Amino acid sequence: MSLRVMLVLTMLLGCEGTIVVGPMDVTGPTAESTAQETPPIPPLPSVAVCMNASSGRGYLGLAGEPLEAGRADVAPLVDNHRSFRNNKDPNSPNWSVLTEIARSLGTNTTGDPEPTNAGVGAAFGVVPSGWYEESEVGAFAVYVTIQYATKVCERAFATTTPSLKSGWFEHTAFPPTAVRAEAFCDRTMRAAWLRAPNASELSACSELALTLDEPDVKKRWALVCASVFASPNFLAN
Amino acid sequence: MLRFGPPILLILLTTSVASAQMPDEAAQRCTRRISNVLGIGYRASLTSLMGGTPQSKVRTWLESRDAIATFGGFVNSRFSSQPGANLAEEGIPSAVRFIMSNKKPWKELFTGRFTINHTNNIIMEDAAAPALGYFGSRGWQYRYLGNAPDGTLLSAAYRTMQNTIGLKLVPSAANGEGDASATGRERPECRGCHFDSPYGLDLVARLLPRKLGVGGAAKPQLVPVTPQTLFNGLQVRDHEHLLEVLTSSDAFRFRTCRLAFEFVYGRPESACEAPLFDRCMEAFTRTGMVQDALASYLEDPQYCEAVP
Repeated sequence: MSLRVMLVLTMLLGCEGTIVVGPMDVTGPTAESTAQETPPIPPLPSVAVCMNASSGRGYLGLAGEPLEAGRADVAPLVDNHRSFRNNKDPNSPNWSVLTEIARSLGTNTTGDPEPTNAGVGAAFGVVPSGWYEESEVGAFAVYVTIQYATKVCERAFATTTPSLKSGWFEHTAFPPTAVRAEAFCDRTMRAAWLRAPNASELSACSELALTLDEPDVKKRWALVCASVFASPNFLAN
Repeated sequence: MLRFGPPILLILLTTSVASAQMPDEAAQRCTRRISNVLGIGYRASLTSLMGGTPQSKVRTWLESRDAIATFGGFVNSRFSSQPGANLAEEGIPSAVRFIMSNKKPWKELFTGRFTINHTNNIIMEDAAAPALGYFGSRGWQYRYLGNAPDGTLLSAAYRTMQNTIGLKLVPSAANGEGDASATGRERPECRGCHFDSPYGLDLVARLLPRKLGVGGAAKPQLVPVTPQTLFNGLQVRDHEHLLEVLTSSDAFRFRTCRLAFEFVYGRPESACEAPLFDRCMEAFTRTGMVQDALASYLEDPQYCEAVP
């Protein structure tokens, strides 16, 4: 696969997508005595502002400073995606992202060297033991994903076992048509992303299937399939 | 109708078996999301659903060795400047495992009476040990001996407050004279953090052991301490009392809930997410268990709904 093809694939399916407990209690009175003797302390108002209004409770540090100060005023739960961490399965030599590509397609990784190759696994970043870093989905990680996904997709097309979820053979023996491309993309996206694609995602995938410059029909479908896995919709949760 | 009865029944049975085996897309997505955060392996998590919802399994997953190891590594990465140079410097992940596996209050990570064997990081409860959590371990104290010429454990003092209450200090770029001695630290550009602040580093360090010796022969040594006035007027007697004060504060609970939020979401909470954060504070204040802080976020219905 040429670099140009990979770039096109990646671009087309790229990113769219109080308790204020009151005075400090160092000596630790019992819960019963506190409940009997101390009336509830009303929560402090927060100094943090959400959409021009105080949001949540206020909390004081040991020197009386407001701890919630500095919170960003942005809508809740909008920045939620985490990169797929390519953990090594503790019970096997497999790495999670690559293994999940095969699992999503209903095939397996038997005989594939990639899911057990520590170098390939490390494409997502190497974290020392007893440490933590966010997974890095950089250019090399995307490259590894698309290379391996292409291989697994091609294999899946040749399989008609009941475990295979998507019936790829219905589509991939023939050149793409608009109807066929949409059906193929819908099934592949659902298998990989675990949700239905929206109209623009479906349209981008179908367009790729119809315009990709790859004479080999099976390879062409495989590249479309792989692009779904190289998307942030798969590589971020 | 009878003629079509058996095949229809067969189809119904097949569908029912299939749905029992494979959760729906939303459940799979939620499982993938939670297992990715906890580092517990998606496939095994999916299998362990057994017809339950992913969020009903959070407590079980939080008990798994892999989830504890992932969180231990996360805590270590937030409490330490970099990975340890040797096993002795990597006591924090072991201490986290000890606390979480034994279902001890999170506070005991910093105030528990236990020892960490610096050759293998095996932790043993020890009623005779000082109530210093991992701060009392040889590996941690050697790691943060620091380089103050007078032997003051400034680095350890800072890490103690950074770990427990999330204090953030930035070393002054104005230390042009390069005088890190006790006298040098009294200079106007230094004394703000070292002496005048409610969190004065030198004042806190006076409650800690001191470094004796130089180079490879340097070691922490217990010395008599005098009470220090810290945190806007509180008299703190000694090292143990310092940790008790720190871990009994709202600042400690706030630090823990932010730590848990960052683990779950990969970023600090925003102002608009304050209600979610407040629920963590309620849960953690009630039980003191870090598992409850984590679960308050992971079990929140919005956690999985927010995934497109």
